[in-house]
Amino acid sequence: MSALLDVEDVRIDFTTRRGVVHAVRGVSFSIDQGESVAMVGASGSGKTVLGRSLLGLVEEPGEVSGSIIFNGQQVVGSSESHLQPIRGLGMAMVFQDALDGLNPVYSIGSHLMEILTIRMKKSRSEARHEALRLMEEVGIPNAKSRFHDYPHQFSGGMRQRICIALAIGLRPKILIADEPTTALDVTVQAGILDLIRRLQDDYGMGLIFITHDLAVAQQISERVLVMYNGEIVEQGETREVFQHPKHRYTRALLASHPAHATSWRDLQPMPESFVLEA
Amino acid sequence: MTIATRSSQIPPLKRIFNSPKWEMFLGSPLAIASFVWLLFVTFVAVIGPIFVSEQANHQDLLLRFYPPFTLDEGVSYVLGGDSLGRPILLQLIVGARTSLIIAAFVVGMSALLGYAIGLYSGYFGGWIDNILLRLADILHTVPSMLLALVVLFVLDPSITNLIVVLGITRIPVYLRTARAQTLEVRERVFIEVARAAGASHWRIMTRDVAPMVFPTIRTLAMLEVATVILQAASLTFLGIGLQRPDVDWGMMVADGREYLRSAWFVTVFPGIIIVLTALAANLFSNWLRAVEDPAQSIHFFSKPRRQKAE
Repeated sequence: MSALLDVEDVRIDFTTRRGVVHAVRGVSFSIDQGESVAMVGASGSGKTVLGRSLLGLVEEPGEVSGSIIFNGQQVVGSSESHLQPIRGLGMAMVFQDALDGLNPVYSIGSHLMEILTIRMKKSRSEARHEALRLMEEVGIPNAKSRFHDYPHQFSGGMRQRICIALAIGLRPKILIADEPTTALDVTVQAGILDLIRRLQDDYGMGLIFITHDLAVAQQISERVLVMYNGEIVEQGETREVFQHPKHRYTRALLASHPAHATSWRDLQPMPESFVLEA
Repeated sequence: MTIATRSSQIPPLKRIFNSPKWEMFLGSPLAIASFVWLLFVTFVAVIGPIFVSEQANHQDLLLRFYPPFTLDEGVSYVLGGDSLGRPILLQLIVGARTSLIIAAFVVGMSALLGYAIGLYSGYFGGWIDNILLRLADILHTVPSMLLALVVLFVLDPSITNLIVVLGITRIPVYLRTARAQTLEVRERVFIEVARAAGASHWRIMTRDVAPMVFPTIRTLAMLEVATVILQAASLTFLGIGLQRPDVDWGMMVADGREYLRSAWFVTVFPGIIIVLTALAANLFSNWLRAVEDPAQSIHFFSKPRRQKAE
């Protein structure tokens, strides 16, 4: 059987002056069309670098081995020209730091126009219509009057909405969202999550949602991968994992989360032995 | 403003006068003054020599160090006469052309090359970066005047050679700046966003990084105008830059130095012109930089934005 995205025994090592860091140590999972998967884990557990490796974005001194097959195409070790059709069009990515995600010298409109004319091969007038539609779709009020505004005139939440518009504008088969709400406050966060969930349904995209927030993972995903220290320690149906965690780490993670406690006495701190150095 | 007012149906001139930049320009007296001065100097440099190049080199020993601010000898001598009795005003006009040509070509050439190499070197890094940077170091270590001296001594001291030599020696200034800024911009998130959307390295370098670095290079280039005029002057002073009857402002300053005590005006007038031109270039480029950076222009020109039309 071949899923849309098949990740087999991926290892990512960084060779530094103080030795080799094994950021990801042999991870395997797969994702089908339209499926939503949450990747949870503490900071430094390797989830972000794993997300980036799916698009071949891990750069020197990082080294990826194993196999990442998207739509029948191998990503690991592929040349730039082979990766280009995958990037954006196959899998698009939304990054964590929304505040710096747009180039300050270009207007919001020209960001959208650029990807639509160049990547989607639309004419300028088609692209303009599509860009305005995308802005409305991600919830920018008065899209028309804000078309020529620059990124600094947008709030953090709105910038992230534009980043999402840039990603979905390419109609990818999978959307990789790397902690898209971390830089935003809680009220904005809820809006962005709703947006991503709705867009995933409307566009029938697969979703890889990278987060350290268990509540968010529970809301957004059908399946969850729990990462710890570069490995997937547990994966399964979201509901199943949250109700009957099998791995000790998952249990400790859930016990330390306020959403599952009725009073603070129920909260269990993460055992010392699980705390990563990062 | 709506999308419609930005569309190409409106004639370009009208678009300029309707743009917020034009409003900012009108609101900034320094920008207007420096722009007008630069325009004036350029105009004089282009048109002036056609009419006065004959008279400018006319020597009249009776009018040696003729004092300025009198009209007895005609308008030509209103700024006095130099050591050979040539009219300083006309010499300034003829010198404007040479000075501007040297400044424009040297700055243009070195800025363009330094910008391009710095971008490439900073963006792609690796061994090419290392080699280019070491070359720039070498060029930087050898005093540029010494290098120019040697080269111009071996070759003919002509305007072309002067431009090439000065142009090459000024490249490292831009190269280092462009490279340093490229290294910084390269790590920003929007670069990664572009990568993830499938943009090629080349495209990111030219479309995303280059415009972020450009304002700095432009400001630097404007600053360099003064440096280059003075460097050309120093070479002339040493006798291997321009040769008479060519004249530039630097040469005039150099000529008058010996007589500074008795005839200050021979040096001071061209000196003032150099300073004014360099200052205008700086002020104007600074203003441009502030305007072009959309985030900065808000702080600098805090005029209330016009009501947006629906």
